[in-house]
Amino acid sequence: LAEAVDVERAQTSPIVRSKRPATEFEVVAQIVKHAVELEAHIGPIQLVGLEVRTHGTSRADVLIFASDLVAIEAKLTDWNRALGQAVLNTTVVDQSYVAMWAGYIAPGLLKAADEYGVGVIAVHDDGLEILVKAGAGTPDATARAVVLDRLSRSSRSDAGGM
Amino acid sequence: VTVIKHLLAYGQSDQASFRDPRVEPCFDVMTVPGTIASYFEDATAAFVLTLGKPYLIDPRTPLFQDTLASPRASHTSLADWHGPSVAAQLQASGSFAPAFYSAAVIGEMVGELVTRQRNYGGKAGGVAPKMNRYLRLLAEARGDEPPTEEPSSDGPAPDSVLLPYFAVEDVSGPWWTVMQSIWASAAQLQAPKSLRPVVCVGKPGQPLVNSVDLLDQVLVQRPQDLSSNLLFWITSLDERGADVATLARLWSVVRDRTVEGVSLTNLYGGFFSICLGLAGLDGFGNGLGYSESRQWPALDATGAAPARYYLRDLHVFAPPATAEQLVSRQPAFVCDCPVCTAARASGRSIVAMDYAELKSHFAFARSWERDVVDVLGRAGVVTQLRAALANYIAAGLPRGIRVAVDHLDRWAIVLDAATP
Repeated sequence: LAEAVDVERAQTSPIVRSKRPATEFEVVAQIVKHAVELEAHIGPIQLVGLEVRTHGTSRADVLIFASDLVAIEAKLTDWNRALGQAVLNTTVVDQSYVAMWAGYIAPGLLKAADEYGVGVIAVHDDGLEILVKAGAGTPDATARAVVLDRLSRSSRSDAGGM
Repeated sequence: VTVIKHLLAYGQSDQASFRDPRVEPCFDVMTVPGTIASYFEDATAAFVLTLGKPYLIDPRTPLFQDTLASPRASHTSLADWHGPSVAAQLQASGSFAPAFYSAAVIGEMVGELVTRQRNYGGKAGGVAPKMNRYLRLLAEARGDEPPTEEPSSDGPAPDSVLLPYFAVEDVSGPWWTVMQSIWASAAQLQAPKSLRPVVCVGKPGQPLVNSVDLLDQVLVQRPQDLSSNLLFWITSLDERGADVATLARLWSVVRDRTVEGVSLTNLYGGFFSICLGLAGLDGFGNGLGYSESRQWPALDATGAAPARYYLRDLHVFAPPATAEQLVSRQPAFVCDCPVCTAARASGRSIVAMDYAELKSHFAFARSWERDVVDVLGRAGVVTQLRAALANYIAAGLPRGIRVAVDHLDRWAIVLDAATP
């Protein structure tokens, strides 16, 4: 329930800014607010959850079920850490992304993401832009089903009218 | 060839793994923590006495050293096993200064603990219904017919009887005096040569190599009228984190004391302890997925192991997703144990392995490690360690995913330089 409430809060957060946000949550809020823009790449969104447990004690910042199960790791800094988490997510989801504020995305991230089959989303004031498309993952079917079940139980199925 | 003995610690959540007929050959002796043996008294006795494996009971006496501020129910039951004086002191204050352990209290404690261990097999007579249940579960796990005969009322005695022990910080301190009193008291009992001393050494904050030096000092002053088959615990010794000097010193202590006729078992050890078998170490102990090292004082803060996958070539645990990423990038790390093989055959990767599978895999991995040391020998293990490190680097994990592998090079250096 708490996670569903967080989704709603994130979707209605009136964030308009021109420079990088101060907190990771604001990046997450912006992703959720504009998630519909991702549908061209991942299909119609059916479920969205925040902080959904994916593997071990790790949680995806944003987890979306569209035609694929998609995890997004949002970070303000430390793209190496974000990339590592995103790579680990590929063991349980179909597509895995790193999301960072536009203008703060190091070229090294784009290169490494491409190498490891992870996507990169640039988060702007007014939307999202996929800079690197995530590769088609080969997650463990059993573990993926468990994660999808967690998402189903933790999010609203109407995805806030996105 | 006699390979090093593996003592596997029993935990309440481990019953299925211990019954698994594939796991059974992976260890030699089951170590039952005194807390479990005393708190779940009937159930533990029924399980232990029906399993058909050698077992011993760890008295875990350091729980009653200095202060036990918030005792759990299992601590209270274990205190009963240490005699009425210890039990009363726990109720009264939970404060156990060296002065509390007078000759009378020590005599009571040693006598009570030894008697309880020596008579443990006799518990079978009082837990027949539970033993019947465990025998049925054991037969089921092994694919045997359900047992038709009633279990014996006299179960097997422990593989050996362990004496109470305390953590010693130096041989001029009061706890060393208490330890000597324990050994003197034990020497007065019947068949003292069957009683195994346990040596626990270490001082928080001091260099680990000093703790190994202290172990040597204590071993030099070991009791002559008790068993020469000693167990030791160097508090805070994490083999993977220990420096070269500490590990090299430990190798020489084990080698030198073994030559003198002492048989040594490390209560908490991992792969490096298996390698110490080449220096003469007789046995090593750990739990299913944890307890390769242990701090004191912190014995009262133990619990179940987290869900982790043991990367056997790297001799290290990792979160399952990390392990899966590594193994999928480096075929040399693919495990061929029955658990992993079955998981792969059913289309499941490491991240889908359940807790019981992770534990069973660890038991197989530990058995594989013993075989590696036995077959390859010291020089071969050095080669294996360096090859594993090279394979890890070649796997090319992203910088955000790390497995701690620094120990591989340190272990290789120690083994390379060691004198057998």
